[in-house]
Amino acid sequence: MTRTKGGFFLWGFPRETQRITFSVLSKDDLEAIHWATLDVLETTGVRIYSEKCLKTLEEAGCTINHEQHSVLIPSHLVEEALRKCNRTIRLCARDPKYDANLDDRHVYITSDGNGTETFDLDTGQRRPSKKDDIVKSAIISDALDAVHIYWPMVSSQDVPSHIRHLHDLEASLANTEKHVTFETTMHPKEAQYQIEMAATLVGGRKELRRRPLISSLHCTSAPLQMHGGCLEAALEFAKAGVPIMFMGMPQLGATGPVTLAGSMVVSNAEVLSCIVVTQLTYPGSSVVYSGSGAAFDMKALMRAGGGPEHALTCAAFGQLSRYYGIPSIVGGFVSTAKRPGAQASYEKLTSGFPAVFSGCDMIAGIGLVNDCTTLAFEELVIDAEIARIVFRLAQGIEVNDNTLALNVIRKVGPGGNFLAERHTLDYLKKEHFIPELSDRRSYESWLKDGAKDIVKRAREKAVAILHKHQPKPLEKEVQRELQDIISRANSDLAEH
Amino acid sequence: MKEELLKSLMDAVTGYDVDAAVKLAEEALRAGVDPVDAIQDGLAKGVRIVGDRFAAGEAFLTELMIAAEAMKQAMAVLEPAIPKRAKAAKRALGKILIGTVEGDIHDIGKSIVGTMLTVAGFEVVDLGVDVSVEKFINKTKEVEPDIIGMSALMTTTMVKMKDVIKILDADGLRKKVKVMVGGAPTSKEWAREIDADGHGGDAMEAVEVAKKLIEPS
Repeated sequence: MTRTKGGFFLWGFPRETQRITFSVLSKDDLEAIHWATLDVLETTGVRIYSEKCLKTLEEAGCTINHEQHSVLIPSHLVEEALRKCNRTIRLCARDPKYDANLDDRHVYITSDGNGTETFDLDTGQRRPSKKDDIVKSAIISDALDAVHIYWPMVSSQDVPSHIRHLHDLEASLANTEKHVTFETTMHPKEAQYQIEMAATLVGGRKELRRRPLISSLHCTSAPLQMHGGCLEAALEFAKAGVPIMFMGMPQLGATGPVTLAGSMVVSNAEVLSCIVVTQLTYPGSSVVYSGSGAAFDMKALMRAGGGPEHALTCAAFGQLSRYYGIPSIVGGFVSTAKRPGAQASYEKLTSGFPAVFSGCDMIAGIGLVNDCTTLAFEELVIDAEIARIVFRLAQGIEVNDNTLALNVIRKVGPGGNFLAERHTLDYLKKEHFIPELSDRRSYESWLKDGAKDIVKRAREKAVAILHKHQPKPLEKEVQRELQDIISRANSDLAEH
Repeated sequence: MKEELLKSLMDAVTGYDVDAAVKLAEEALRAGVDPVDAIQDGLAKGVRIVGDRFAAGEAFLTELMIAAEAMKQAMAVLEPAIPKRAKAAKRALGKILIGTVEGDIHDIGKSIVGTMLTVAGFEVVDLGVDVSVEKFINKTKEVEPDIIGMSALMTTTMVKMKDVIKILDADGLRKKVKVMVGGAPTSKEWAREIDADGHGGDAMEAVEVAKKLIEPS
């Protein structure tokens, strides 16, 4: 695949070529949400289950109730923390051509992560996820142009739980040359091992600070709480210069108000409180903003990540983060469908395009179904196609002398055709979405080729990629060192 | 020198450069290259390469059409220089007469099929669009094709295909020429109903069908 400047296939979707944008919220709306959040932080407060962090907040002037683990944060501390955040975050990759600049000028698609089930590629059966699923999905993500950042898509449940996340990271770093972001680090000690692993690849901790090959996402616990180990782990990463991300994810009507704006306030209060702790502890550290507001389905009793509410709040959080001047990662291309198919496709599309159109920096969601819990290799391939279609939509229609095409219209004239014209060849790839999966053949050709539905075609494509694509392997020495780190962690972390 | 020129002709076609193909054809004649060689080992070779790329899903139709256009324009330079005897010897895979039926001015599908057939090695005589029944019959008598290919995009015009076949029958031509039909409203069932010999669901299938029709039975 060629990646021509000004053309369609670029590293990261370039917002400079994006003609169609939309805003979910007005500037007044954003200010109202911000004001409401400051009010919640100052008067209702949040609970943070870390004495260490509460102490930091107390010293900065917050009101603490140690028994309740709760804190009231004055608004000036929030404004100050937002001002201190690093503005030049680069998510580096093993291969620097895959470096993702969170510069507000690119949109990056991130594979969805931390599923617990996988549709087996050979049997098609749903089963608990394994380390090999990370290997395979990393290789496929490495090959797909529309996947810019890899998030270990499932958990390695075939390894002991106390070193599971290290195995997840090892399988990711070894099988893609793209940036690796991950979630679920729940203890600062675990974070130290993950930092050590990434440092091994770049040649030390100092170099890792310059070229962070990893980033770490930390979820808050709605409503208005933060797990202590999770936040302390985030601080470990911040200390090492590894970008961190805080994501609020209240469920509308259950762990957040039923209203979209109300749940945005809850999510925002959680995330901003974490940013305050981070910037008080390590001023200037790299933080990526994240929020989501999926409906809680009151009949199915499930989170509805594929619903329009989630799509709207994610796009709105992208706007809010821009208002704050910090980059965003949001959910998109999410579906609650149980397996790839019609519902998955329409939910993926409708939950994905608003985030792209509103210009979020990173969008996670592709490849998992059943509300981000189940890996389907077919879905990864299908979602990459959907993302490319959405990018093309966002590019809109370019109007200039060349695209108005008067010369070639004059040349061809009435009754002719434009197929054999140089103008057609020159602009085809720039102007047209070129399918890599969608079946646009005639009925007869489709029938002759086995009348395959899109899921079957996607499976074939996934298998073909695994056959031919081989990301550059890690050096033997590095591989050994990663194994060593995991062995040391195996005895050290066993107690947790 | 000759080998180089043949390769350059091929490269001009595979590089989608119409102007270069024409210039190289002129140069080949000046250098005394046999025009039949220039066509067969230069231009046609290039078109076949692009045709293979297209079949493998690696090239776009516009590339195939430009390659065919490069060959067509370069051939216009070369053909007048071919001796009559050689012309007769240079028999293509088969001769096929194509056109869009009377009352129908849809050109594109028929033209794509024409290009595909050319790429596959057929000699294609394209009558254009809105071709009357009489014109199909008269041209059949004149150029003696192996196959007649009729195209229609509308249910209201596809009935003309039936008329052409009826008159071919009445004039005693039906045994000498195979008939194939295509276009969105047509189908295998339609082809059977009007007593045509073949139907192409798309341009690729049309070529396969044409190849089958000229196989000695």
